[in-house]
Order: sequence, then structure tokens, then C-alpha cells
Amino acid sequence: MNREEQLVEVLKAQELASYRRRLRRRTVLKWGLRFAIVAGFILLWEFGAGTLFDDAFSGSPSQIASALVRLGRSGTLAPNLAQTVIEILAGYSIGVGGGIAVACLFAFSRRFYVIVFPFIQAFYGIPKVALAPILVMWFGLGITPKIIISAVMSFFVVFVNTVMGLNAAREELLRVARVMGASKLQLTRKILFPVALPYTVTAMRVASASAVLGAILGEFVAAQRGIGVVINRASTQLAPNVVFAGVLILTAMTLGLSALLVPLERWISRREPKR
Amino acid sequence: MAERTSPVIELQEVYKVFVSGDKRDPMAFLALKNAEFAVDDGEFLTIVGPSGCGKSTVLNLIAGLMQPTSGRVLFKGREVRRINTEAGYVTQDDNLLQWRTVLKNVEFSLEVRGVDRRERRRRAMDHLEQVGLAGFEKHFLHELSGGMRKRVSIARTLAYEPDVILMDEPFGPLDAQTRLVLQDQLLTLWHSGKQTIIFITHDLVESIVLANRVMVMSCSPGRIKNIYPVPIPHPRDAFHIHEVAGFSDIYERIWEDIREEILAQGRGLKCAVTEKGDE
Repeated sequence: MNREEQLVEVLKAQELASYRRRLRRRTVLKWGLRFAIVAGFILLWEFGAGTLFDDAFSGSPSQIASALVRLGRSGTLAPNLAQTVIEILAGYSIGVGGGIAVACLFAFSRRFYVIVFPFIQAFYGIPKVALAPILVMWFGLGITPKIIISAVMSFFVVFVNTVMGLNAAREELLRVARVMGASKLQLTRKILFPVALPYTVTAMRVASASAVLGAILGEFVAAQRGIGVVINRASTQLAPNVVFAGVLILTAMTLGLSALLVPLERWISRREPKR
Repeated sequence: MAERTSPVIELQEVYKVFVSGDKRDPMAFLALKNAEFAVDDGEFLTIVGPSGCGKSTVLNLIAGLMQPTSGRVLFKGREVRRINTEAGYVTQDDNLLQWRTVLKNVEFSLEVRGVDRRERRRRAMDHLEQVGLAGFEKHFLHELSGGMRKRVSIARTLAYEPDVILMDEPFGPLDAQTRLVLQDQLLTLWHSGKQTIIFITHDLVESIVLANRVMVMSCSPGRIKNIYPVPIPHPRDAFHIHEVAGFSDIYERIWEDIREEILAQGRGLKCAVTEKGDE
């Protein structure tokens, strides 16, 4: 090995080492700061409760934790949790599936799109909260109205964004593919879908919050079981810790639902340059 | 040859290593090996070479968008350590703002630099006129041809009057006629402004028409192979350069040099394709 080759090897090693160092420092900083933010927030809440603000209204992290444990031990948590989880999962899958399906129908037929779109828009404009009582009237106190509200709320997010995504394919690309002999179905499957996918996945993330919102909304209006019921009851009894415990559970559900999307998002991000 | 007193830009024994690939198993790759050259004030230097041989890396180093792994990059005698806002940077895409009119696009660079409204307008109009786009101020970009958009992008860069303009294949996506027109216009602008220009191109004729000197780079790793002075006096006529004495001679010499590189590439000594990717 001559002098210059040696130098190049040294430089490469140097650059690799500094890359790894930067990466490590960034990771440590990232997690350190995240931890600090959470810890700071919890500490402020814990020690502020009863001193800075009235803990009869604010609750405190330790009391929330014990409220959670109490809910679990007393056996009230499990059936309520199960009910809400089923509502959300069912509502979310129906909403997301329906949103994608209808959007595809639109992509497939321009004419259908032109005719039906105003109705969808009008329907989108309806405040879903206002629909909840009617649905309860129609379907009773059971699980059905909650699933419907949850589904409707996640449907629109996914639907609207997927339609946008399906329209995002460049006209020139479509023309080229058409000349290559691609059928309408092939265009949809091989070009429109992949182009729309990132839009849809982003929408699915947003929809995971909408699905939870929808289910709880339904439970607030009228229900026998569910986390929404627990929260509602606790708030009438002025028990902030139980309310917060419920909120915590719901947050975990939303996060859990969107965590399901992480592998899909990672797969999609292959096509984009790293940031 | 270029060893005069104070060059505007100088690279001294510059090496650049990129790290790419998986986070867990990163790879180091040598993009630039012992690059050394200087550019004089007011000079027009063109860079040619196979794709992936580090041409853009050279520009990015001068623009301060990245730092060399070893060696020094000097701008007006000072080492470039952060983004070099004294330079202008024009790329292959026109990078214009779709939501602004032509005039507002040219004003953008001046806005960023805090030039006040009236001065901004005046200078933008002035430079639009210089690139032959007077009367198009109110237009949106989709109403313009590719060549016109490119001229807007050049006007935007000229508007803040950088001493050095770095151009990375700016005329690449344009058609042949438009390229000729723009080459001619760029020469005129250069004559009136006397900026220093470094210009990357794949087009050998273009590189000769424009340049005082043509720098040929080679691949794997990126190296400076040769620098050729172009013995054709200015002002030049981009439309009739083929007929000028000395043109075919210099063309043959440079082409011979590049041909070797391209053949080497074809034989499988291929270049890494990460020129634009990392960092």
C-alpha cells in the first residue's frame, strides 16, 4: 500500500468513526430529552397538586396510578376496556377499509367521482356528534351505534386523503403507461395505488385518533359499558383521577393503533431519501 | 497556469469521504481524491466528467453545504466553514416557487437577504430585463417554457449579485436550441458582470463555448484529471463556435480524455451513484 492509499484508509476510518459518534450522541440526546420532558411534567403535576393548584380538580400522577390499579383490581376495568377496544377495532377497520374501497371506486370511474363527490362532501360536513343520538335511537344502547360512529369518523379521513393521493399521479406518467398498454385496472393497481399509499397511511394515522374519538362519543351519548362510561361516571362524581386514568387508557389505545402502522410506514419510507 | 496572486476559490488537497448505507452497518466511500485547483477572479471554469465522479461534491464544498474530510477549501483566501452566502447556486431543477409570480420569484433571494421592498422590486425588474423576460413579471410559472423558467432562476441568483456563481448542469433538461440561446445569454451576462462562474456540464461543446478553462474529472474515486485552457478569445458566439479556429482541436483533445473515462466506466470500473445522496 502506498502513502496515498494509506491516507485514504485513515480518512475513511475517521469519517466512519465520526458518523457513529454523531449517531450515538444524537440518540442519547433524543431519548434523554424525551425522558426529561415526561419526568418534568409528571413531577410538576405531582408536586404542584395540592400546592400550586387544587388537587380535588387536578388529580395527581400517583393518585391516577392508584386509580388505575383500583379499576383493574375491582374488575370494572376489564369488561369496559374490552367493550371499547372492540368498538374501536371494528370501527377503525370498517372505516379504513371502506374509505380505501370507496376512494378506489372513485379512482376507477371518473364519472362516478363527478356525480357522487358533492354528496360525500355534504355528508362530510355533517357534525358527527349530532348524528350520535339518532344512531342510538335507531340501534339502541348496544355496541352497534358506537362502531358506526367510529367507522364513519375514520372513514372520511382515509377517504378524502386517499382520493387526493389517487389524483396525485402525474398525468404524463399515466399517459406513458397507457400507451404501453396498461388497462384501467392495471393503472389503478400498479400506479395509482403506490402513488396514493403514503397519503393513505398518513390518513390512517390520523384516523386512529378519529376512531377512538368516535367510539367514546357514542359511549358518552348513551351506553352501558365502555371507557367512555367510566370517564363520564367519574366526572359526575368529581373524581379527576379516574377521569385521567380513563384518558390515559384512551391515549394508549390511539398510540397502539397508530403503532400498528409503523412497519408499513417504514416500508414506504424506503422510497424517500433519508432526512 | 492559474498560479496568479489571489484566486477567489482554491481547493488544497481535498479529500471527501461519504458515509452511506444502513445505520448499523455504514459504509465509507471516497468521493473526492486529492482535488486541487484554483479559480481566478472573473474566470469561467467548466467541469466535465462521467456522472458520479464528484463534480457536484466540488460545488457543494465551495458552497459550504458540506465540509471536506481532509484538505482545505478557500474562498477569497478564507476557509469555507459554513454555508457560503457569497456564492450563488443554480441547479438542474429550476427550484422556483410555484405559488409566486415571476417577479416575486426573483425577489425571493432579495427578501431572504433583507433588501427593502422598493429596492427589491427595482433590482428584480432590472435582472428580469437582463435575461430578456421583461413583460413577464406577473406571470405564473406554469405559463412559462422550460427555458424561460431557467432564466427566471438565473435572474433570481444574479439579483443578489454574488461574486461567484456555482452552476450544476443548469441547462441539462433544456432542448438544444434553448441551450444555445441560454449559453449565449450567459456569456453576455458574464461579460457585463464579470462574476466568477463554475459550471458543471455533460455537454462537451457547452463546456468549451463557455469556459476559460475546462476541468476534466475522472471516476472511482473522483479525481481531477486535467485542466485545459480554451484558446478561443472572448467574446464568443455560441451559435457559430464550431467554425472558430482552434475549436475542433481542443474538442478532440478533451474528448479523447473523457472517452477513456467513459470506457473505463463501461468496463465495470463503475462509479458509485451516491453523489447527491448523503449528508
